[in-house]
Amino acid sequence: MSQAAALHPGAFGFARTAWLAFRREELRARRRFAMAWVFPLVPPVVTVTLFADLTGSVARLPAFPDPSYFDWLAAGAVLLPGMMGAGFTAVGLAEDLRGGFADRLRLLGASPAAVTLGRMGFDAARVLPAAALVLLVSVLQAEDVHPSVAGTASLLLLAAVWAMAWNVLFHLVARLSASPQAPQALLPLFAPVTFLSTVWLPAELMPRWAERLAEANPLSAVVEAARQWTTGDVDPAVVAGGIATIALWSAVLVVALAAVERRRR
Amino acid sequence: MSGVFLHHAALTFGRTTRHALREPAWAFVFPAVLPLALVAIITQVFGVMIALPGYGTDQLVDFATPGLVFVSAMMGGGFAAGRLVTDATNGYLDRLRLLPTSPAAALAGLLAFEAARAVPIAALLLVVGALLGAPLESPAAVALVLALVALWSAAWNALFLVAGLRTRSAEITQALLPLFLPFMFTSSIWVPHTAMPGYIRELAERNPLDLLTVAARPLLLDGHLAAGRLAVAAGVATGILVVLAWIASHQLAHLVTAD
Repeated sequence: MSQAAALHPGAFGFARTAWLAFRREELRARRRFAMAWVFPLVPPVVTVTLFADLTGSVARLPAFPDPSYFDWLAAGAVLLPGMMGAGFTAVGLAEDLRGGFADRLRLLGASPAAVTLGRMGFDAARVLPAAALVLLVSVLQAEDVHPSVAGTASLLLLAAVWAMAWNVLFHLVARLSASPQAPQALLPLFAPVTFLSTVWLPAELMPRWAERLAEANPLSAVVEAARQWTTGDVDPAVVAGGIATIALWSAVLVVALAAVERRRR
Repeated sequence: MSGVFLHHAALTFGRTTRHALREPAWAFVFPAVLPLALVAIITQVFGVMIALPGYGTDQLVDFATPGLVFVSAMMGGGFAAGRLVTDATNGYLDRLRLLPTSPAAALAGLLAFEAARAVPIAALLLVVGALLGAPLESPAAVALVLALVALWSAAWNALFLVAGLRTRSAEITQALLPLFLPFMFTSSIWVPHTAMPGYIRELAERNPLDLLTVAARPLLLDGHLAAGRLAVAAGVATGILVVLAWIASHQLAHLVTAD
């Protein structure tokens, strides 16, 4: 990575460093396939098959808006791989900080931003197969989910971008703690965040306190953006709201991450 | 059982406990946070489901908590197995070969640790369930269910030990972690049998987690000792534990004594 930065300064060096960081994570994922590949894939697939089938009778309730529970769940399910399998590269970052590899990168002039981008790029890329599979299962099971080609591409892009945004939080915790345990311990955070959003149920069916939290939850805005493409009835304002939410979430966390990085240097 | 066996098992128990305290994320946080989220949040968010026929309780938290205590024992599965795989690859087991230590005693210590690790987490879930209104009134029933949780945790983790010893891969023991999901979603923890799709009901009838749930629910909620169901659930859990521990014990003995 450092040689790339030294030999190729500027934008090319930045891109090359990011690519090498991406490749390093990809090689690490081959050795640690459980966290890298199993966690983002198995729980979401089980969710859109067994869980949705088991709790599908909730769609019989009078206030339920969709013809089946699969129709409701499809939009949020695409975002689940990025959350249920989060933290893989953050654990690598913490190990690098603790083992001295991060210091070596610093001494050799590798851009921290490029390394972070490469790592998070891998987090985005590794959720794509799982997101695609979850979407396929949802389309097969639901009655009214028929996304167009452009809609499918948009959903997968949204899943990847959300995975990156969610993982910034894990990188921040890894930077602050320099402990691989910390981002691992953060993994179950997906449960309260997704269940207090509109991933699983419409907010109107929740108790009042949960409804308020779901409406204020940034994930709900992202899910509603995804729902535009699963229903095929795209409202640009809702999509823009979801994208703006991801941008704001990422901006706040990236600024915090940069501040922690500067303090360390 | 000799005093030496128990002493060696206790030493392994203590060593594994110390490892767990150094790695609290996998040992305690992961298995506690998810079940707590299930009891405290999901039973409330999905509370509307109680309006569907077949539940027979006032709230979803009443219906789900007795089964979720067993799920909590599954969610952090594989901690001791991961440690054993590390021991097999870093030379610790080679050192054991030089000592008069029984592999079965080491295994018993690991399984005892897994049984003990599940109890405080399950107890915490019961407290949260009670705070949310689940009618848990009989201390004897709670103690009996916690004993079942410990038994089930040992049985479930024996599976991870077998897989870890067979493959000597810590990744395999981690990759098995989500295995609790199909067991949970093919049991009556969230939905009564009468409201399940047919194929899930058939799977539930063969699911040991469902046997435990069905036995614990009347015990915890009404103090009603369904002795037959309880005996079947405890018998199945014990059977799984004995068979898997026997396989793991042979695998470990082979590993320790192999030239």
